[in-house]
Amino acid sequence: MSRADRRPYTELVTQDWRVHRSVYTDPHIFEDEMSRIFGGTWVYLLHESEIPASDDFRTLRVGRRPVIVSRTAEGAVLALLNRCTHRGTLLCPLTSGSAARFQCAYHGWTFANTGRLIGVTYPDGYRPDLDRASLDLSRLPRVESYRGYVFGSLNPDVEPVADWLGAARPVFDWAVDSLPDIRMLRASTMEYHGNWKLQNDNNGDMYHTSFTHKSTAVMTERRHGRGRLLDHFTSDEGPMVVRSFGNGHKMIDQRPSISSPWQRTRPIPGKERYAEQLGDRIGHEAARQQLEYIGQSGINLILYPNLHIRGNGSLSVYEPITVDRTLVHTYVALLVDGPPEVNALRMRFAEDFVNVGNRDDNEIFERTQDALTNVCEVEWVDVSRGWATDRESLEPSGARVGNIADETGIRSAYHQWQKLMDADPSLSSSAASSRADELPAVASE
Amino acid sequence: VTDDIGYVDDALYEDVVAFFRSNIDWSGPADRLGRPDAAAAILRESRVLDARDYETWLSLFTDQCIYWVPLNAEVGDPRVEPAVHFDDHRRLADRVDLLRTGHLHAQIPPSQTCRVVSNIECRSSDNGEVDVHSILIVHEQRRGRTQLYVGRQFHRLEQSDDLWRIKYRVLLLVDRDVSQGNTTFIL
Repeated sequence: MSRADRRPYTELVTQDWRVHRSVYTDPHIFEDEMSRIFGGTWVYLLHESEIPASDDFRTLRVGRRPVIVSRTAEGAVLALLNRCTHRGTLLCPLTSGSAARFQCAYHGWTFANTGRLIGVTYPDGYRPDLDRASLDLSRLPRVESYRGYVFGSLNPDVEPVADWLGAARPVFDWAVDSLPDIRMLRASTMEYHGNWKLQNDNNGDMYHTSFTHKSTAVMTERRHGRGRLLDHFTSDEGPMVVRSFGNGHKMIDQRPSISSPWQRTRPIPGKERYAEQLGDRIGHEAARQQLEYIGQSGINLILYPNLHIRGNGSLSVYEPITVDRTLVHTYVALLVDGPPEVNALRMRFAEDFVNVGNRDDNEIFERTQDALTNVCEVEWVDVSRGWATDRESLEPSGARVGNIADETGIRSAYHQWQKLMDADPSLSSSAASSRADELPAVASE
Repeated sequence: VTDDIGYVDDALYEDVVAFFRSNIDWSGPADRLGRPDAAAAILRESRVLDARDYETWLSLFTDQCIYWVPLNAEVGDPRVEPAVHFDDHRRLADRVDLLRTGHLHAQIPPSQTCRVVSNIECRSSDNGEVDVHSILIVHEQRRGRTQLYVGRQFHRLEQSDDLWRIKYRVLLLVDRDVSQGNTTFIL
């Protein structure tokens, strides 16, 4: 399809909440998303504990752009485009490390971790008035840390992170406040052959749970009895809700049905032995409280577009590769001053659902991508569940709240998708402004 | 069969880490005459997995076994680092049961696999256990897509009832730090 034949973005999501198949399958739309969504709003980069010391860095992608997130000698966190300004080579091929400067492997140009060009090899070959400042590394114009979680944007006009969080902010704060000091660790990365939004849709969807995850539910019940993970959801009646916060953010709130994360945790290696050891060591009442740091705390908060906060210090971050390929990076927090028994069990819990549950999700994403891509005669998917019924209401915070199995949250995401894709914000990554004395202080809350 | 649930403790973690370290750092010669009986146990594991005979596969492990697929290249402490898999006997039995529910979409249809286990080298220890180092190549085909999983693997075998059983198995995938596909079929 040529550009002129394609519908405007506002027409790809209908007023009665259908989404056009091309939103998931068209490589041109994907290209636009990588700038208008992954450049136009805030994307999650990393947790500050991943680069705790001066000169620490980690590389990652903002949309598809390779980026170095570095901590300078002054402690500021910067997001540099990982591209040598000389001939365009990827500057840093490592995933993480510590470096005050980066030297390009191609011709040896050297940049400070502030982005400043500090070394041009054989400089006599260049004209005397070469403007070195214009050859500093480009960087994201906006980087903000909110309570240790670092976000970046290529849109200089984006609102502050706290405003962007909006009505989702109290839930985010709840997730941060419910844990003591943490160090975020990289856990498994999953890959599926499907569009990144299939994962984003799914994380705000409890409608699928009984069906997609039937294998997990059946195995868990017959091996370990009732009362474990997943069986608190058997129909769409009950006290749990889904919320839509605006700006594409959404959550599944399972807290009303999860009084004890620990009690609902499926058996994990060491569960009984370490619980007993901890009780003997610090007393059974103290141990009981500490053990609640293991398991699912009952929130799935999805910040649009790429961060899924799963509660109790575990995260998923979506990395789109192509229109039909996605990586999902998972993270788990180590409790810095936590009892070793609790941390050991937290590590084992981080391996639980990714291996028994998420494989079925990924399979469904791949089947969906297949049929959406190849059946061009049927053009729309339906995300209207709960809409235009008496099942949705507005909370005082401004959040729209719906039945747990309704597609309220998915609609929030597509409302934002339309808005960002239609806006086509002007993005920037200024080289000149990366001079060290002009660096903005990173806002921390 | 009830699972032995009490054996994963600090002593076990330390022993498994020592096992991993001694194998990843091993540069000495293998047993001069090899251990054909121990090597056969590794090949049998591979054969029953290709046949998807998961119940037999589980029976090849000791009651206090560990199956570990690390995320990191360096030997770390799994108590403070997540892994791809760090399974005790109970969790292995969970995974086998999951495959038998009839509802595991990720294995409908099931993966067709063909494994090559090669470069088998054995070391006997004084207490009667044997460590086996080998290379595993799994060729998987499912729903029109082919995947290759390659890694070094270390087994610690212990003899019981005239059979070698797997006490520890560590699989060090070459692409462990990149991503994991749909490995529900058990590597």
